[in-house]
Amino acid sequence: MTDTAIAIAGLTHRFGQRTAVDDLQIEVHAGAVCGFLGRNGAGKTTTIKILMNLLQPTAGQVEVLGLNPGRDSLALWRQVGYVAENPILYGWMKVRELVWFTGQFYETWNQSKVEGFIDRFGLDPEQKIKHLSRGMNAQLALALALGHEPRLLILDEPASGLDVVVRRDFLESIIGLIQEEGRTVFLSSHLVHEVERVADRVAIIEAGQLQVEGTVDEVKQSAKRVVVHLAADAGELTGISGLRQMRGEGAQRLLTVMGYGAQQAAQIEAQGGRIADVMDLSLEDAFVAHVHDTEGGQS
Amino acid sequence: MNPLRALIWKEGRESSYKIIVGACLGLFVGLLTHNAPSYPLELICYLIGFFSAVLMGMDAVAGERSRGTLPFLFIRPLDRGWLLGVKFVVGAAGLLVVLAAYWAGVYLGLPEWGNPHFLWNFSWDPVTSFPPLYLEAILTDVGYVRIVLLWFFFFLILYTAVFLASAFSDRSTQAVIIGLMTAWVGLFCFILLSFEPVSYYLMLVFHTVLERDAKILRQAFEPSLLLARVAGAVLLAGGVLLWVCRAFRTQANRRFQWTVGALALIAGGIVMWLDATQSQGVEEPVKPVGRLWYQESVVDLALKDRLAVVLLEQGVSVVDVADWRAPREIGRAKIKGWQLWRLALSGSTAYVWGSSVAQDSVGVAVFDLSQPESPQLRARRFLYPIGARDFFSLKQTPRLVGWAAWDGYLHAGLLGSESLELHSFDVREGDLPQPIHVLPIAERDKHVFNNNWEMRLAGPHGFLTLGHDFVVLDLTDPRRPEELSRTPLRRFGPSKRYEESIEKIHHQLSVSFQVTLKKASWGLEALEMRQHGPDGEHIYRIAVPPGLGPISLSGDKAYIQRYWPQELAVLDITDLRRPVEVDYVPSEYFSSGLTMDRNFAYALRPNGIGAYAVAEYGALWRRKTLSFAEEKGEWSIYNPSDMKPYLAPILAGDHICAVMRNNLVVFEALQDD
Repeated sequence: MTDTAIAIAGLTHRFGQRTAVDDLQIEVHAGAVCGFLGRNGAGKTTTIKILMNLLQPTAGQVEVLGLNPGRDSLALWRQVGYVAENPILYGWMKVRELVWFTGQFYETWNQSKVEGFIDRFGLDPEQKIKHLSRGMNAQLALALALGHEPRLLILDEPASGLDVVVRRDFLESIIGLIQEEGRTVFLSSHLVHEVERVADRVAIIEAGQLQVEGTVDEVKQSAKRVVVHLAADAGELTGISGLRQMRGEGAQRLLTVMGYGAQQAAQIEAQGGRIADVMDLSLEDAFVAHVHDTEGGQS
Repeated sequence: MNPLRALIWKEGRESSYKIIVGACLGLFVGLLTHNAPSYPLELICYLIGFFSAVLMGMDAVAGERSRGTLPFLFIRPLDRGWLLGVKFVVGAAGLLVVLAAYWAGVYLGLPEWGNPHFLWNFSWDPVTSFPPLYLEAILTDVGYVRIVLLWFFFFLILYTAVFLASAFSDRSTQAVIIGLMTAWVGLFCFILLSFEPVSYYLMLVFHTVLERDAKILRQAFEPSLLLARVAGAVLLAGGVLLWVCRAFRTQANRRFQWTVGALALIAGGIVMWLDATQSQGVEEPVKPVGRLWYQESVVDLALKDRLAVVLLEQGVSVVDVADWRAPREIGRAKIKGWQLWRLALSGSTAYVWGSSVAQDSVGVAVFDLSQPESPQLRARRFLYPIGARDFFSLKQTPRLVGWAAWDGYLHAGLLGSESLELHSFDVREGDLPQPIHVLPIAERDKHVFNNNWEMRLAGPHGFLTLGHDFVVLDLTDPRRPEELSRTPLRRFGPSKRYEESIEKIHHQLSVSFQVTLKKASWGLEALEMRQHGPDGEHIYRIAVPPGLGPISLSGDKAYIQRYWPQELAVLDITDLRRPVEVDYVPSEYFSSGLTMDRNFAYALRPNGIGAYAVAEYGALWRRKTLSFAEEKGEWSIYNPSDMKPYLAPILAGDHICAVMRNNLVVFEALQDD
């Protein structure tokens, strides 16, 4: 047993000339629910595919449950449940048949548990999979991913096909249940508040690079929104380190600053600005701040 | 937990519709093919296998990849090698089922099982003796299981190519294109290599699958022969599979995969290479050791002691062959105005069959060779006027089909207008052969266009091929020669089914021709021609396929060329009253007679003498060519098809000699290696 469920160090993956993942470092502790946030195309799915040995990394080290995916993937697949983004299942099979088929690959298969999930999701075991809605498909994929009692559950945008009610049930109840059992969940999404509700820790990735990683509070704290009143003779604020966004007109400015502290306060005041208020951000705002690519931009 | 069972279930369910449709179609086509009146349906038989192989292979991996279900399978804790292996095996099993269904259809169409004649309105003529259809012959002779397996192995090659392409393709269509290109390139190389048989394995495939000969097919299943090949093939396939698995990032130890895969490939290659090189090989052509060139074409050859008597178009040449490396002409006699055809030696007399253009007659010329340095034309006799040169006319000149002298008597097989006859001449007294007896052997009618006759005389016995019969004559008493036995050597048939499909009428002046072709699936079965003219109606028939051809005698065996199926029938002639066919050897078509040696069979070829040996898989396979390159003189192969007996090389001790175009050519006989 190891305390670290996922350890990614210096992970790089290139598709030809394009770098999808660039020197990524992430560590997920066992038993945690880790939200893996990023915009579309940020490199989340590529990272997860590498974790599942569906892709070979160009460079870097990856360990999942202490195993090297490329070398020990049979052991890995026995212990990891994985739900792909928009999972495609065998349409010609019935739900019951797919459950049986999947269960044949695992010694630890818990049929009653899967049936419980199927019942809970309201799926008809005799229904053909091609007749399931997108959300039902995702639910079935989740049930199958849990069937072999995985120590780690990797979910790639699991909520994207689910309606609001199911999504809440899924994210809160199911993941809560999984976590109670001491399992680790690695949850990739771009729906930030869904993640905020369930995740202990969050990693934000942009253009293949890790922007920030920590508990939800730490990530929220990593950026501040600062209300600044400018003196009449003051010029435009410039050179403030960590500035991600600046809005406002007249004498008032609203700044989003990464890693706000005494240094930034001094920089503002030196330019004739008076700090009127310093506000915490929501996770979504913090996410936007981290993935926003216009430094010092004004809008 | 039983992942393999689950995988097999899944793959079987996914392929089931293809297998069911393919099997139904195969069964249906199999039933129809049996009675197909023309070739296109036979082509469909091949298409069944072809499309089955392509359809089974194309979707195997690429289909799942394009549908997006592959990752679902790939994250299961099972080595991807197993995934690929199960996919391959299930697809191959589907191919086998389709082919088995096709041949089951053919089997069900056999007369013993009932026959859907009505489908094609086939006429039924139990009287006509026509050969059977190919499928029937092969099936009954080879057996259902073998033929299915052979076809399966053949199309497995295509299936494997498409499957491998599918394993690396994103789309099924891409897999088909790559697989077909691979297969076509393979086929192209195969065809190229088949012309130059450097690859024994390709020859083997060609003969076992395309040649369709029952014996070869049976030989291909000889356990001793199969063992090394299966081992080699398994090792090669294992190596390739491990390599493919490596590309699929399977989870077995990679170093192990690389090592075992590479070792398997090397070992498989070595096994096949050893087998191929030790099985058969075509070596460099053998050059003649001696040669004598003439101004005119050389027609026939006979040996006597250290002399060779060479029949020229208009004379006889006596050659000293004491030194085979330097044959030297020591005497020559000419006969003007004659075209000489065949030579028979009796003592120091040479009897020559020929024709006189001036006299418009066929006759015999007698040469005295008692003084080899100065051979003399002693006498000549015209026997028959040359008749109509119209090929279809009944009034033809009797043609010589066999010609030999023995114990003071000369025997000639002559094909006359009405019949084939054995004419015996007394040559003990006087210069000219005295006719003493005529033995009718066969009515001509049935064989009117059949050129495949031969009479070979050996000692006091004559051996003839007549249509499909082998006849032995006793010539011990030349005045009362008798027929000892007549053995039918038709291996298949006669078929009772054919289609009278094509009729054409030609008008030439006052004569009209009506031609009736009778066809079956493999092609022409019979031709009948009715000629209506001023002198009434004449009916001619051609036996198709032709019956027997040249006879070669060696010890107590007679080797007789059969034209369909194309092979040499091997007869034990220890008891001449009851010759028994003991074996047959698939062979190529020999336009000349064969000379049998202990090690090789020799036959004249346009470029020399072909030396043939019985190949490992049972066929008579050309091993070497005793090559003869013309340096002087005109290009003329003097081997007209209607000149009998068939020319054959003559074996003399360690040498083998033959006449070719304008040459007497001598080679060293080959030794077994």
